Amino acid sequence: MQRWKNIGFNVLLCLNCFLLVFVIAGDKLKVPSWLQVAGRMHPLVLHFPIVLLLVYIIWKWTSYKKASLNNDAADWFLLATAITAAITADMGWLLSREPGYNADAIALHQWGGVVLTLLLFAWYGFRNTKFFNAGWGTATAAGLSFALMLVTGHQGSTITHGENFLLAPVTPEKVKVPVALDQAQIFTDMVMPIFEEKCMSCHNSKKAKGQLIMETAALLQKGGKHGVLWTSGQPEISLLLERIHLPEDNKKHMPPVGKPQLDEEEVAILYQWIKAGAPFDKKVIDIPETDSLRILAAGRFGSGQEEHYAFAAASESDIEKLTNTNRLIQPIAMESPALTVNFYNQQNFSTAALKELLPLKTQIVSLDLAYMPLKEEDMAVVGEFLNLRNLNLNFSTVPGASLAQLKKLAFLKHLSLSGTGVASKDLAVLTALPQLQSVYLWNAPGADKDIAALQKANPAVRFETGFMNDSMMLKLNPPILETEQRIVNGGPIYLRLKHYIKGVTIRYTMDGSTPDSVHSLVYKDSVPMDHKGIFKARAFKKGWIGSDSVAASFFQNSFRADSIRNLTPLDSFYKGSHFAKTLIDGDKGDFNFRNGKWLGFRRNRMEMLMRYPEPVTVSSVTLSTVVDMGSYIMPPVSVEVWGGSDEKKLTRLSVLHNPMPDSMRAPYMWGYECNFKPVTVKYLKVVAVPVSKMPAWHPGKGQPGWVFTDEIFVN
Amino acid sequence: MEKEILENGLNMNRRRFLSRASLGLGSIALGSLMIPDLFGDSAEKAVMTGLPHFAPKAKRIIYLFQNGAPSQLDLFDYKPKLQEMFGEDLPASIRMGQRLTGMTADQKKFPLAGTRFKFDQYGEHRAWVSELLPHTARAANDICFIHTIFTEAINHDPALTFFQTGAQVGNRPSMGAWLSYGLGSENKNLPAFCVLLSKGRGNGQGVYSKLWSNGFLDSVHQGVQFSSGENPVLYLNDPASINKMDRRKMLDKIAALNQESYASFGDPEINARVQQYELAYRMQTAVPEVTDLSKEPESIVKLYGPDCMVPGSFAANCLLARKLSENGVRFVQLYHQGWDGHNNLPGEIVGQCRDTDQASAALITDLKQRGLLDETLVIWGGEFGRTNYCQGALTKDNYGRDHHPRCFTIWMAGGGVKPGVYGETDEFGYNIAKDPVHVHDFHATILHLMGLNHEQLTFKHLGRRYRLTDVAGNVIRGLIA
Repeated sequence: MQRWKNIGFNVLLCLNCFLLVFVIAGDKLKVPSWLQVAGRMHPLVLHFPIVLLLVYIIWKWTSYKKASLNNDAADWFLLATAITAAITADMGWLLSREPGYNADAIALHQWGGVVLTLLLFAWYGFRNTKFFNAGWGTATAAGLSFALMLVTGHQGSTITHGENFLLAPVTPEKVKVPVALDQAQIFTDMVMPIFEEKCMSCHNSKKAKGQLIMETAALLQKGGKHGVLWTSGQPEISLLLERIHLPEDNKKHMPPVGKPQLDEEEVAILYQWIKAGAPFDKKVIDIPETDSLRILAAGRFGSGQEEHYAFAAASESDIEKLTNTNRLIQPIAMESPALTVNFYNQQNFSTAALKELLPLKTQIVSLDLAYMPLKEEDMAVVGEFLNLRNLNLNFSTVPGASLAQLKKLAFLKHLSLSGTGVASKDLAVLTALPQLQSVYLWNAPGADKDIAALQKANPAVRFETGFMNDSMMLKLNPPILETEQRIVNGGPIYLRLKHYIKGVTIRYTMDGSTPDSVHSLVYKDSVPMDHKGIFKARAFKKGWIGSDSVAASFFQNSFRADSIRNLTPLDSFYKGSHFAKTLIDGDKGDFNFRNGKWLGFRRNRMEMLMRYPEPVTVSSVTLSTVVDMGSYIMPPVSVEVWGGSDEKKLTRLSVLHNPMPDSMRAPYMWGYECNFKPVTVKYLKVVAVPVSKMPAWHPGKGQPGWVFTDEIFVN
Repeated sequence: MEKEILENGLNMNRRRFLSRASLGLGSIALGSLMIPDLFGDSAEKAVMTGLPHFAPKAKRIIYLFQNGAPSQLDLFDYKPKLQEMFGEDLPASIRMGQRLTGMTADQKKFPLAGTRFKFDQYGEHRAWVSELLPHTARAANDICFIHTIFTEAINHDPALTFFQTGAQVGNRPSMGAWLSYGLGSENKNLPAFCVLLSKGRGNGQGVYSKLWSNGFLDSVHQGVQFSSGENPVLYLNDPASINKMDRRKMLDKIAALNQESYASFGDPEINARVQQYELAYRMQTAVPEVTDLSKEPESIVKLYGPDCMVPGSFAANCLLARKLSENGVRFVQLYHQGWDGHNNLPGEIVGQCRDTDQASAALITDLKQRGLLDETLVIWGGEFGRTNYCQGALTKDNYGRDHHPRCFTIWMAGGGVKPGVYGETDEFGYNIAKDPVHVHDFHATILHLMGLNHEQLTFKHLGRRYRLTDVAGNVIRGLIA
């Protein structure tokens, strides 16, 4: 056993010798890569000596003066502690030779480790001497090694985790005073903070790496041992940026590997600053708004609009107590003392509701009283909210004269008076408001005509009059024909029209002509339509251009066939709810051609044969169609009417040829009316031919078009 | 029922276990974990209180979503190069393997289609705007045109969902729900998040209620859809036989019952339901007042155009949005359908612009003249852009454009946004040349304008904290005034 102890001691001696060599002559040694691996195990192995040492100290402590302490076991424990400590220290030295470890930063850790290792070595080596056998000797060794372990361990954690890692969660953060854009200096507020944060830990008056100190403008201009840092206006050849832009593994790259690097924006700021001639006392607002530096600055600073309020916050319970569904009170942001108040529901408004806010009068910076029935005494209350910045009185009944109550509102910036009855003379108070920036006077007929004079008297204020251009001529939208029925059989249809704009006059015609604003009949409650034809209506109003026409074709059917039969096959999809009978069911379709009230024809032409129970004398046949060119539904190329008393021997009574339209237009319905000399027939055949090739302007040019029909009217 | 009772019992036991186990040092550590303020801890600043994290620039948002994806190349992003190279193939060096939709994947050629419409520069920032948008052009001084928004999705539903919720799959809270959760509502008589729908005549794409869903947030944050017609909020009015007093009594009784079941189950959704009943009761008076457009002066009708009096039109929704916003609705979300111009784009886009241009610009003017533009953020844009090459047959004045996610234009106005032109695309309008803005960045910036730190607005769900921007997004400082 003793032999093994001796071997252990020799190992310990050896390791300590290594350590001494490393410490004394380390600068001249080069670490081979396989040893780097050992070095990198330092953070792992270091836990052994820590735990062993702690256990050993506790053990010693608790068994002080007790016979129970097994000296042999204790020796082994101390030996193990000393050996692992020495291994750790050797490994630590190997690790410290890798790039990225600043000698200054690890100095304390390194020396603490060395001293601790040597102390443990000594403790073990001289454990049986008088000194260490005495109680106070052990206590000194234990106390010293414990303290060294704490210091070394803590310093080590700072290297791996960063400064103040341990206490950061309970260290109050430094509150940066926000700088407003219009106050910000380019050098002091944009450039210097980068140096402070990323460079000055080495380039300060204490360390002065490369003889460069970056603490003041003068020292920056002086540069370091490699020369001046920049050439004004030429960032491309400036040393500062050259070092920053070198690849990270280059020894001359700055900041060195392992240190916090500059981000892209910071590099851009330095680049633009040098490009602009590296000014030291220029303000950000002195450079043009389109300058890159200015744009970078805009992201870094507040706009200066953020207010800092000097008053204390109101109590939360007061705010909560006074908030209800008619009156919302809220801080403008978390931790802001400033309050914003909005009133809703004019029928619940009262002066008392406003007066209840007086305990908060210091804190209210924004007050919305739009649409509220305000009286003189309400404005007296508002006049006491001395910190008001925004006051919205739009469309309220604020008496003009009561605006004088606002004269003490020294911070008022925005005043909204749109839709109120204030007169220009009431606005004399504005000159008493030093901070005023904007006044909204749209739709305030008492004041807006004097805007020019007001503007002249208050040049610092922007007066907004908004859109009042009643003389602009716009076209009205067409009236809406509410009645859906289109077939006149027997009694008249009473047509109902409506229009959404107040005060329009609707005029109409029933002969297909376009209604005009003078002669055409004026619509009252309804229009009786009792014959076939085209009904048109337009809306008119003073100050507007008359609308387009709303038009509807009305159809009459005098003779009802008792059967109808398709001579060509129907389309498999658009075959109607009642097949061929769809055309004589008296049910007109609308623009939704898929709803079963329409028959569609594309490959085949439409050929329908109708039979009448008794011979009828007819002179007119109308085929009702829809045209929806976007959906490839075109007018029929031709419509033919055939008739006779024998279905095998029909003669052609009439034919209509229709030209194809020459451009796209909105869907419309049309009745193709074939008139001919009166003839008595028992059978009628109606033919409609779809276009075989769509016109060239259409997206589907060359393809066949559709024809859609919903009714046949015979008179 | 038994399952719920059992579950509640288990919860109670767990709670009791924890309270018994809280002894010694462990209990202090545990206690400070559960109640962060126990030691006045300043590190936990992200506690939700329904207030902005810092002073906001914007208090409210009106988002004019142009569903279907308007063509940026025909409206805002002027590229004369495409007219020069009209009909030539898109160089592969520009396309760089961009994936295609199923609609153009089989196309052999990608002929460049320069816009058919004239462009001009407007306002002090000389922003390019097409002749299709004369009113928007006149408002250019107040608008920030962002040409370099880009997204990851290439089809409507995922892209739309991504824009609204920050994720392409539809189980997350919508932007409006996040804002309702983060900031609460201003007017307790109206929902914090309202939705208005309209439809143009162009090729349309659907919108679904999942887009205004509260996701995993409390259901009080869900968007409330207003419909056109006599009852803007369906089922809000009392039936003829019930008067206000009866309704009040009924609600009180139901609330008492709900309170009882909350006591036995502890399900927070029960409380949410009680709150919703109360909100609906208050809305019964507030909504008719807000949605009444009849008192608007003639100059407003002219400003928004005559369609603003036609219920359900985009113009009417814009006007209604202004009224809701003016009354303290935090987030008004409009959707206007019909921008999906795969073919016959020049024909369709004319109608779409006619329906939207005047009212969109009017909203800016109207807010401005009331002094509200500074605190209201207006956003206009679709879910992605459209390609610079033609889908289908290209003729001199007719073309179609497929979906393009790599760059497109969105505009914002008011609410602390810096007017001007942000970002640049390449001369083909296909890739971003400068200052990209990802959808996450867009969300982060919007939240920033509303006084919220997008990294702190979180909600814990299924074991992890979620954000609108999830794990990405940067505030784009260049967009902020």
